[in-house]
Amino acid sequence: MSLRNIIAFLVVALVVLPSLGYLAGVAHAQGGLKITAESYDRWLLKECPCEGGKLVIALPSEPNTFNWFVAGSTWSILVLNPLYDRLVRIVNGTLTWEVATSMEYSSDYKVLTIKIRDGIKWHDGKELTAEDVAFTINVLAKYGWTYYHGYFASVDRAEAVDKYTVKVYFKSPDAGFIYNGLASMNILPKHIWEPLLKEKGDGLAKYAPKIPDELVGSGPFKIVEYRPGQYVKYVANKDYWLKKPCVNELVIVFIRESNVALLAVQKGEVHAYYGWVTAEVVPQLLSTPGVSIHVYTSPTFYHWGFNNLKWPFNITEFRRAMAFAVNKEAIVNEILMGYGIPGSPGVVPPVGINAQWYNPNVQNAYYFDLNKTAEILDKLGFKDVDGDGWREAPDGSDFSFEIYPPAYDIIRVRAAQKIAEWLSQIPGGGIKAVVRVLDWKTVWPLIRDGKVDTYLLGSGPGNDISWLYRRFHSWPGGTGNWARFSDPEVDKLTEMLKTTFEPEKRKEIAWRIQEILAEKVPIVVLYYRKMINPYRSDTFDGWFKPADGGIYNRLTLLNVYMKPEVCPVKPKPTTVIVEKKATVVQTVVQTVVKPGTTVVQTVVKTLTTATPVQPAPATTPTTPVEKGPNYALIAAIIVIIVVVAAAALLMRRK
Amino acid sequence: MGVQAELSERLNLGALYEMWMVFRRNKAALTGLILFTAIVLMAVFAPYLAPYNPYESVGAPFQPPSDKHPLGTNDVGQDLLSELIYGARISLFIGFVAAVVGTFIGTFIGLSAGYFGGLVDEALMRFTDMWLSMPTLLFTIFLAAVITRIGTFPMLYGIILAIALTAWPSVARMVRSAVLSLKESLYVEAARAIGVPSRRILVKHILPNVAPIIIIEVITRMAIAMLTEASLSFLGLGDPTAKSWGMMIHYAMIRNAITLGMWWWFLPPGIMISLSVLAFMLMGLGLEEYFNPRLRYKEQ
Amino acid sequence: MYRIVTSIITFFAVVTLVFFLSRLTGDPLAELANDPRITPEVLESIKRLFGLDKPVYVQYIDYLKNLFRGELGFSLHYMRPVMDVILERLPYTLALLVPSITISNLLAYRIGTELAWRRGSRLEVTTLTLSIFLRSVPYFWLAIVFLYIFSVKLEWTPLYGAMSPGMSPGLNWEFIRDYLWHYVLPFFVLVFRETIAFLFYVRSAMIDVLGEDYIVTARAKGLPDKVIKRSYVARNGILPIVTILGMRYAFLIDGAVLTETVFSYPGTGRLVFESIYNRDFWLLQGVVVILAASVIIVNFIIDLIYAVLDPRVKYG
Repeated sequence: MSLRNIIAFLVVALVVLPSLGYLAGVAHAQGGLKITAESYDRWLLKECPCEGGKLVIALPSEPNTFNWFVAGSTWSILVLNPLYDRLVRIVNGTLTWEVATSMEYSSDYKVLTIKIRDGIKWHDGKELTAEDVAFTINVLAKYGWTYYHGYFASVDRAEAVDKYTVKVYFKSPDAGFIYNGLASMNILPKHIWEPLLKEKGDGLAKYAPKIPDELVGSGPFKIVEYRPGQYVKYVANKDYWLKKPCVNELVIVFIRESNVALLAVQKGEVHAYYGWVTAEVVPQLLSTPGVSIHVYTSPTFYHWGFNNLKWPFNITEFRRAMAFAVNKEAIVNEILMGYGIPGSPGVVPPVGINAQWYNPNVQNAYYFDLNKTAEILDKLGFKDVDGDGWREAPDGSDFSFEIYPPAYDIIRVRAAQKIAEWLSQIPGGGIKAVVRVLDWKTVWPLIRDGKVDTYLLGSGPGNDISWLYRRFHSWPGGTGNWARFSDPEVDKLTEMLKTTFEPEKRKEIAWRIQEILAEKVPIVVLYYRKMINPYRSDTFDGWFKPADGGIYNRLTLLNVYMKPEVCPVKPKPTTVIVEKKATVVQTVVQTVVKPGTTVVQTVVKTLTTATPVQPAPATTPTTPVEKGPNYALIAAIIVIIVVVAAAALLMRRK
Repeated sequence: MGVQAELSERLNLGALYEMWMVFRRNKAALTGLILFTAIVLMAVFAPYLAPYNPYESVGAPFQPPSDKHPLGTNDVGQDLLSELIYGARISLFIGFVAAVVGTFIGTFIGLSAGYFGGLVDEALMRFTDMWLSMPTLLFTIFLAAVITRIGTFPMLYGIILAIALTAWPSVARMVRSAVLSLKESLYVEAARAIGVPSRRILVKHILPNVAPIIIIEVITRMAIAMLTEASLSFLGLGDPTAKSWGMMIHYAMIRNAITLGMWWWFLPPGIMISLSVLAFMLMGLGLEEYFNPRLRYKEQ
Repeated sequence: MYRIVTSIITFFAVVTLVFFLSRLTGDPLAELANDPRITPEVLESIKRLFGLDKPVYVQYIDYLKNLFRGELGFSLHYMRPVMDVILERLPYTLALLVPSITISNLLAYRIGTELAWRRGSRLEVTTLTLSIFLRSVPYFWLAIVFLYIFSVKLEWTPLYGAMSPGMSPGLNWEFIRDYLWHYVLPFFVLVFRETIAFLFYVRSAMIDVLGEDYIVTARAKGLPDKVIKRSYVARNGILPIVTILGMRYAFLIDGAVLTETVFSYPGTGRLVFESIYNRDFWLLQGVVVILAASVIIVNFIIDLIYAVLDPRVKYG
């Protein structure tokens, strides 16, 4: 092999490989559809300016369970996030390879072949193989009680073809499978969970895995300790295959009161808060030295939903009239204090992974114009005939309807009051809307069973645009279609979304659906909220701040490092860098030979192996405690004894 | 008949006068009465006293105290002083209705237990003891959480009901023991002997005599009901549309008043609750002294 | 015996009441329906798994059966047995309740006796006035004010929790210091409040005792105050005070619910708040049953103590 050959190879590889990848995404390559996704490289920090330190993140609620199969709440998923890897992950709105290196559909879309990376180790030292992946998919596909079962219902079975290849067989093609199912599926170790499943069967749903023995993952952090209601403690997995985390320890504390959490951030006890922070604290947070905020848009669409089966909301024109009576900008500016974006008439949020399907043309399908409302209402016969200032129904009877916001969300309560106010101001007679605030537990069944006129609800879109099927397909298909909207064309199109795989075609369908939704107005999307996460910028750096997600995420965990001025361990001397350059050249050659991995990743890998003079962990290794509460009890007993003794002494002296 | 009415009227006037004398002598009770009157007046004349409508945004949100807004503004730019003044209405309303309903239930149970005796008494008193020995607030929280999630009636009524349902046991006990001692009294014996039906005896003869206890109980129950309502609101079980003092503190908490150092938001409602509870307790003390002369301080 | 039977009856009455009331809140899984991950099939199989498809009376019988095995049902939020969740939190609450009830009662006992002794003095009047006012202050608000003053403004005490995040419990000085540092404020609020509330009972009980003939005689005999206080008043005044100790314990639980909530103390009291927040009624039901049971047990023990203290009382 001469140098010329190597260069030639390099050039070919550099030019051909990316273009091949591009072609694969658009056209069918050899019978099936190849999935394209980004790599982690462009986000990852090449090296840690500082290694060591303890990162403390606050969440507003504790995880409900550590059993991922039944992890219902966001908080469980967030707490398990540092622990497990996924095949693919949605990072900053794009699909990104994680454990998987390629995926390909067969020509009939009934088989998906997934190739995974080799050399990934579970925290207990065993290798992560295709068996683990197949096991996890099979459990989700087979057991109805798993929370993600809905995304895996189309799967017939998964098989490990060899150590690094999995084949997933489908009962019927499912275009949303990768985005919905795989991108949210943590790979669980078969050697831990299969015996448990055999032993417990369906009872696994009620099982709480032992911490840390049964919480073996492959992710960047290992779990060490869990104190109910207080915190979870992790240590960095120094052998993590993608990149060694820069910090040594991670503690997630649970602080429900945003009041307290914010103070903790301001005092520096907590380095970031991933919770609901209302806008009024922003000026104060920003004026605190060392505190910054990360603002992102949540894709949850908060909407004013109509019961499309109930008169008069079964009249499309009436719903349109209502849509013209809502000042979305005012809600965003006045109630959300600017922290939000007005809702799209096409429902699909223009943020995150859904942005690729968002149709900007429908943005002005309706707007705030009470004259327009009046005009439509007049045409429909809703007129103020008796001159009391309120419009009557076309048959002349008094008419009013109710708006139900949930009591726990003051923003929606205020928004409902505003809507009622605007409706009362319609020229030529208002519409009487009564805001009824009840506990969510009471309202929700009413909405679900279609017993209320209108309601304010926040619904999360799915990762894949086929969520429109769930939200707008007529019953019984659209199980999340609380508005009871029914339209033959939307039915047909949403069904197509589930079986159409070509990206361009899917986009076309999604755009058409949004046009219909904007025209028929089954719901009025009021806003998508902007969330605020405060974090310390003086002690830690390298935070990853996605536009559609919080400050606490996978990449933050990998990248975040203590600033050099507060670093417990000084960075390496410059001589190492020379050494590094030498290794880079070497690794480039390696990459060419093995096109599966990308350049920078290998650099990182080699670096860690080539420079064994890594600083030792700064903090003392943590000792796992097997039975926690007993210590608390002992401490309590000591306190009791001391206190009682003191009291006894006090009594005796007198 | 006419003579009797006249007599009772005269007696009542005398009673009022005597009550006033007791209150005038007892400084604590007088303070309570004055405080109570002030708070009730504040509630009644809220629209005239409050500078703004508390349900309307009248300025920028989160303003500190100023000439325009003596207590600043809340998260949606409503005047906090006006909220505080109007809050008296809702807090007193909740306290009053809950106390009256609770006392009513308690009186009913106490009367029946005391009057009928035997098995009825045993069963009712066991039940009362059960309620009495339980952590009241915990049960109220539980009831409020359950009741506000059952029906579609306004949450405010659910909370009132929850408070009333846990407020009755001590009333029942007191009424029962009063009835027991009354039952032995001569005129009840006499009434029974001439065959007056028991319901009539209860209503005509026994009830008027336990009235003082009931009045004192309503007053002290009101104090407790107001405290309970505030606690429930603080825990997030209140009605978000009813701006009681407890709800004000709740809003201050969820809109980060502590972080922002806005003590003018969460301190005044707490003080108002304390003052009204104090007023009721002191008045209760005064009334107790009036009805139970043995308690009266000897004049110095 | 009679006491045991009535205690058990009371307990079952509480269990039954709480069970049926929490079943009134309707379908505990209803909210899952808006989760994009949950399809109706998933909902159905979860329902089957938890026996929610059975009629209520069958669920009640199951619940009672489980109760005998020391189980309190299943928390649908935590996906774990309710008993496990409660046991994790119980040590914190006990560590808060037992010392504070002891200290506050002893304090109230001393101060109350002293007040009764000096009835009518200026000291008594001032203390009483102050106590009456402090008694009117809402519990949680007092806690908030304390939190604001000591944790936020003075930064003497921590803002939340029972220990610093990541502080693994162990028998070392560092942990104990950290634990006590977090402990002091909630403890202080409970003691403060309870002492004041209890003061009144002690005082009136003591005044009654002081009015008894034997005290009057002793005083007339010219016995030193100290002797009278210790040998006559304290001995006889303790009985009425012990009687209401059970009630005080119940009040203290109420206090713990509020205090733990304000200070984010991870005990059972806070669990009440959290289960309401999570709408986890099965857990709420479990907590109420456990706390009610503890009240019944405490009352039972107090009865026994009473029997020992007062030879006149005999239980058959």
